[in-house]
Amino acid sequence: MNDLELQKPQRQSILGVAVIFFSNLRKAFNFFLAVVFVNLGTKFRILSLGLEEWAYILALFFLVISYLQYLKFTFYIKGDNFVIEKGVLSQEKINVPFARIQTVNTSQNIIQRILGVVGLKIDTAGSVQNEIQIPALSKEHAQQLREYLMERKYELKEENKDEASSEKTLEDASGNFEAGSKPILALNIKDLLLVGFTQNHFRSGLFLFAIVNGYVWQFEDYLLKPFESYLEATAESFLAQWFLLLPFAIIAFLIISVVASLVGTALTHFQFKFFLGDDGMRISSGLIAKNTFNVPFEKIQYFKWESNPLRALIGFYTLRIKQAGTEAINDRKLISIPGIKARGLINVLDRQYPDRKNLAYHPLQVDQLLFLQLSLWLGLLPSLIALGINFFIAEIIWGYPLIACYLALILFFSYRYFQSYRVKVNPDFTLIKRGWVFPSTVLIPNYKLQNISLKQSVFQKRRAVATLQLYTAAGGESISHLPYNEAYELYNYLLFCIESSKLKWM
Amino acid sequence: MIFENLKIDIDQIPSLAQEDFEPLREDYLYMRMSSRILFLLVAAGVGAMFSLFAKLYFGYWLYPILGLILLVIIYEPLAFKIKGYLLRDHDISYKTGLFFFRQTTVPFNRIQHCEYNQSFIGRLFDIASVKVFTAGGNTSDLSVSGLSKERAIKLRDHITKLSSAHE
Repeated sequence: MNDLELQKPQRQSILGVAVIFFSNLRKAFNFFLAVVFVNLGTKFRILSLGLEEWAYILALFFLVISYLQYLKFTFYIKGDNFVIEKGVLSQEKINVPFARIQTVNTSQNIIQRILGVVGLKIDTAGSVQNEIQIPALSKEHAQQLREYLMERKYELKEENKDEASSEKTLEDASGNFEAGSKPILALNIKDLLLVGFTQNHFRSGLFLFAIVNGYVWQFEDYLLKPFESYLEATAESFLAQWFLLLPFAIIAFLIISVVASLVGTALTHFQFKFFLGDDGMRISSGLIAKNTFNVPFEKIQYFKWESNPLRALIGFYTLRIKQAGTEAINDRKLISIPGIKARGLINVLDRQYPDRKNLAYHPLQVDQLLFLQLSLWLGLLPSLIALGINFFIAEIIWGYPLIACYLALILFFSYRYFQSYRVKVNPDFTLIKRGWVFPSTVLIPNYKLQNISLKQSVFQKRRAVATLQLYTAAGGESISHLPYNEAYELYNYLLFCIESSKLKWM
Repeated sequence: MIFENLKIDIDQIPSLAQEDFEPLREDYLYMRMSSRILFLLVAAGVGAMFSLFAKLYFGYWLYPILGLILLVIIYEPLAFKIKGYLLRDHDISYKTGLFFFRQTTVPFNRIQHCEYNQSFIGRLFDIASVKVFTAGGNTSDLSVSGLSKERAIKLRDHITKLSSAHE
């Protein structure tokens, strides 16, 4: 493996200049966008140079900077550390002890794809630095480096606890997935469309709205100023017409949301492949930016799988693999597998937790307060407010049955949600099922827990219920409205499970 | 009894009893009260300036601040009674919250590192805190405040020793 010559400082592929250049350019583009946008078409002059000239000068400047950044970016191995040195003006030296390396992933954005290089990301569960990455390496080099790093990491581990897992050989541990191995799940175009169509459109719509809104506010002054007088004049007639416009607005929102879901799905899950290897899972996907995630089995903290009414119809689940990480990078840590069928789900669970059904589960019942609170806050209170508005201000006759319908609906959904809430515990696992419309299931091995909180507000105290929060290295899950005594017993029991466990949890 | 069908008898599992918790140093209560009252007095000073120079009606700031001071005097001693920590062989717990009670336990075999802190005001009252961190988060998972400096350092060393024994 030492053909990598990692003892002395190494540079990445020369194409790294281009990768760094484009990433700088993108940052600059975001930064100067407002300036360019505002001055487009106007006579922009600084030091008797126009917009175009300045753009060239800046581009040249960035090219030089990028080249310097490339020159200054070196990586090598020193003792038991992987070292990255970078920075033009202020030197930065990042030391990553092999033992701290959690996983090594590769990613490709569009520039990297065109140039045929990959970025290598070293993940350290946030203990050293959030993101350590080498922007451009040739594919073979990246693969070799990845294997080398993982090997060194496991070597170290083996030294530390020689007899504990001696049957695990090094070849096993290096995280190899042969190019020819068959994925356990691959999404074809049809599956991709199905996943896209069954997305939570409301959320993608809101998400898009938030992004667009953010951009609009950034340029609010310039975008809206020309129309201001017009807007004011028509504002009143607008208000009068909103009733007419509302259905169109809703339809437009729906269509845009569905399109947003489809585009989002295509971008992130294109050519989605999910492999289940001997020592870990691997996910690769992406249309413009291609990402590959490698998840060693022992790094998985727990699983969560979800569905929604549309997905339930075609039998699709979304499986989320929760991996250790800091909150800031947790988004990408929650690696998800969309469009997995029940069979595949069981396969994954059987592989990871073969003994999950060996011991009987003890069911826990949540208190009715959950139902009461949901119907009070979501149902009764809004209904009363709407009733008041309708009675005193709006006075729409058909408003009353509408409010009654809403209340009945909320009561029904709250009750179904309350009924669907299931908590089951056995000596090895905690299982939380909840949700009727959006069912989700969480399966946490008890020994993966890190700390436990018991919370009780004054309202909960009066009903003698409590909320239990279970934290793992990959985030927490909470169980609300458990009867206090049972919550306390569970609290003690789970602590006992953690403290008596000798298994490595990370 | 729940869990009767499990392989371990529930009675054998050690239980965290509320009365086992150790109260915090009383100076911690005085520290919290005086720092809050000090803050309110500064706010009152600002209000007084406005009244003097800008002819603001003094009742606008005096009564709310008096009310808040009263609230601090009533609330803090009650909340203080709730607070406490408990050190056991395998874990450390902390409880707090009068209206929103919260009790957290972190087992030693899950602790990544442990910190000792003393604020500026804490120095005046000889009050220090110990923060305990687990993996995967940026914020501390458990923070035991209201210890004397000597005790806090002892506690930190104890936790560090026990948690590193599990590595």
